Amino acid sequence: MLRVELNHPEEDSQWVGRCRIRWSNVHSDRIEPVLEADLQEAFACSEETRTMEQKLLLARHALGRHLDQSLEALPSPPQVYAATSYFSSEGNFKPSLGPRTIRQLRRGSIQQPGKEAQPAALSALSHIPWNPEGADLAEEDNRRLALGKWITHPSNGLFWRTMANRLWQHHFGSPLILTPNDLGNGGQAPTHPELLDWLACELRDSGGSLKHVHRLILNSRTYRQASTWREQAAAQDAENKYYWRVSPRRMEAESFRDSLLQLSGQLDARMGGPSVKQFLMEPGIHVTPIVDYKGFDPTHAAMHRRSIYRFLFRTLPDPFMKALDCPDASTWHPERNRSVGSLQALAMLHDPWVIAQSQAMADQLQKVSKHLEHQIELLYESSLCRMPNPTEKNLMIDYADRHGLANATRYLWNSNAFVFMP
Amino acid sequence: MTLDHHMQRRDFLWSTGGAFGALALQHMLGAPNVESHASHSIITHRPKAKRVVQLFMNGGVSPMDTFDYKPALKKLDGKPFDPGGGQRVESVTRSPGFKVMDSPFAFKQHGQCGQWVSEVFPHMAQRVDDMAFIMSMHSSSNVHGVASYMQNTGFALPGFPSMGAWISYGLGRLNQNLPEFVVMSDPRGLPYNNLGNFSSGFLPSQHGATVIDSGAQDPIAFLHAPSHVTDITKESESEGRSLLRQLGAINAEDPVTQSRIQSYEEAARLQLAAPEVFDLDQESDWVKKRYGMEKEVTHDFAKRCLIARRMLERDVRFIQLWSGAGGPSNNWDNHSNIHKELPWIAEQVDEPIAAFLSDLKATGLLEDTLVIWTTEFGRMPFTQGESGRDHNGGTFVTWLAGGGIRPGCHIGRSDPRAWKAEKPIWCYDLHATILHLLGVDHTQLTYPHNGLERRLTDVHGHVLKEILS
Repeated sequence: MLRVELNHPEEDSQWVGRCRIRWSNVHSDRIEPVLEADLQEAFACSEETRTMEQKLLLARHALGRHLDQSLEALPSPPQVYAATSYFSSEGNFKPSLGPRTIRQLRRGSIQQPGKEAQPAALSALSHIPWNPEGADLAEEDNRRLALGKWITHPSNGLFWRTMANRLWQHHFGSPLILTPNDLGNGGQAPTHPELLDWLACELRDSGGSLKHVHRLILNSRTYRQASTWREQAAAQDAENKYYWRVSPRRMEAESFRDSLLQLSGQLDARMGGPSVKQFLMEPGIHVTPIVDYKGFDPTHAAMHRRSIYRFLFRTLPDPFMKALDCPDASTWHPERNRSVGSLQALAMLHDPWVIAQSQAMADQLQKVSKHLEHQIELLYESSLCRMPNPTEKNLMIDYADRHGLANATRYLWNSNAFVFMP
Repeated sequence: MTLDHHMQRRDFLWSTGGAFGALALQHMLGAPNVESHASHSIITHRPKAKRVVQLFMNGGVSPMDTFDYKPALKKLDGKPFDPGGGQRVESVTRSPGFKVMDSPFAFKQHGQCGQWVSEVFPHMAQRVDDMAFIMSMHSSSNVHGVASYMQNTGFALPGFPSMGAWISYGLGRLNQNLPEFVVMSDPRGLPYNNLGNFSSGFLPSQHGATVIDSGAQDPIAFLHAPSHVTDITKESESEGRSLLRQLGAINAEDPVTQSRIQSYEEAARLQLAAPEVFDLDQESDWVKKRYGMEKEVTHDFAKRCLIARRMLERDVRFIQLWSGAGGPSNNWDNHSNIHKELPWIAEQVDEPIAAFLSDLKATGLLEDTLVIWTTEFGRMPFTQGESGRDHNGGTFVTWLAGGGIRPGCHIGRSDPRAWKAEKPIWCYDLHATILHLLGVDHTQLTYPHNGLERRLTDVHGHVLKEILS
């Protein structure tokens, strides 16, 4: 006998939907899914008698199956491991192989160690369970895992809101809470609290799928607005706090750099590996080496790596990236500044690497087509995802005719149409 | 200033050089909210100074060998240094001995004010009546990197905006064609912390320093395309600018995109203005000689002082001039032999600084220009090795001159051995005073970052009223 019990731990006034119970002696992987009634009907029809709706239904079903199978065939995504660092000791700089003993310090003084401190969560946040599996916290990796699980626990609203706020910021240029590193008392209140909470729940309930939230945002009417300036709307909300348009945003330093590489066909899209030094370095008189960005060959293969793999010299930032507000790496910057100024204009015009990219782009265009008009169209299509209008086309042809395609490319890449999103 | 207001301010400021520039732009475009922003000007009172020049002596100038005369050291010379009362001496480098060393340099009183100056600064000694001396500067760190960050940014950690960046952010543009915050580092090398001392930190990057390489063909990075690129010509550039203007005409009423088109016009003006500033052929031989440009030892600093004077004439807001590179030598970090190392570096700046001051005074620029002579810390009254001196954050000397400064005065005192300041004066106090002279209450110049309203002066700072005119 088989007994089925429905359990409602939350409350007793819930509706029970139509339930169906199936049993079989075939392995679960091999059970064909039961088709919806209308699909079954469509299958049952002979090809001649099928209606157009039924044909479409079957096509959709077949496509869905095909997609599912293709997805399953993909290799599993790389696993990310939380690991402790192990390295060869250098003087007193030694790797810690297990958790160190941490003691409470009386009045904060290292001279007065008290009892040993144990890993635990804040008792004030008791609604987030700490180490519910009771993992052995003497192990370093268990400690890290427990902390990770605590932070990302479904009842930790702060985490999901913080993440949702950052995703919004990433797409709109400004977050729903204007202080993305501080959602507490020192921060600001959200401009759209219900929206933020909804996005946070969507993120949480989709199993933390960033893609899901990206999709929600990108498909929203708010995101798909034009950036057209409207005097009347600006008069009421000059800062566009209430999203009457999509605010145009200057590309970030890294995006600008990678875009140029992609367009000029020089992008080295390899992932991972050690960071690349895009400067010359030789030993200095003391500890600090001498670093030279100017003397580095702008066509060197290291310059073709994605910006994320650049070696960051904290006290000697790349002057080009700095001019585009790539932040000082010594401190946290939850938000990029998007400043505009004459030195930035000069960097974008005269950086030898930018010049080299525009030359490579021009060479490419000339290989594809012999006609300037077509070259300009291709340049527009690849750089701006649209064709030039007649005025633009004439201006560009005229300029390229006088000063060459490389210069024309460089100026298009300096134009607002290219530099601003959208 | 409230956080709310800040966010608005920033949205408007991002497009131009700062408050005034943004207001001007908004006004030109007939954009709304101009009035509400005008009412939030950062100027809190009438400024006494419009521009600032900071002469930074990199490495830690020894006070008891320059301006802080300590006759008590004569008697103690060669005896072990004992601070008494069980106090421990914090010395950076491990050097045995701790034997008191009297200054090997002769001191004399100078000017109406009677300021003591040692023989290493014979020319600056002639200008003491223009200066106000802070005799008891104090730093909580005696490590170059940390102490330099404190003097430049008010914080011991990297990543904070330097004073010049704050001033550029708060006061906006004074001139139309040149950068607001200019650094002329020592051609022998950048100071400790490299560019970290001049960072815009979390402020928009255009407020960071424009670092001038006065020895290079193009003193300002990216000013021109590299010379080997032959298809970039004057014509291609000017027609390129007009191409940008025409391509940008489509969404022209949008102030955000408009300001970017303007930045290319500004860039063109900078291309014209910059070479003119650096063109010292426009200066008479007599002036060059007075600054010390004809002598090899003073040539470099004289040249940079002269460029600084030309920048002040063109209303560059904040100029920092560095003497000394980072590293163990070529600077004021006189660890091994104070007898030789100090006069050597002191001579390089003494005559140029004196000429610079008297030139500013003669041309009237000194009336609304503030000149500051600073270093990151002082040095120990005892020896390191045979005749060097180790770092000492306990006490050191800074002087100020010009706009709003009471000339010929001094405040503060170190103990009789110049080991510790009696009443310490901190970088925060100096920064607060500088902002005060520029018409800004240092507690009002803030910027929100990571949940805090950050200030140049952190939670400290007292305006040094005694040195104000």
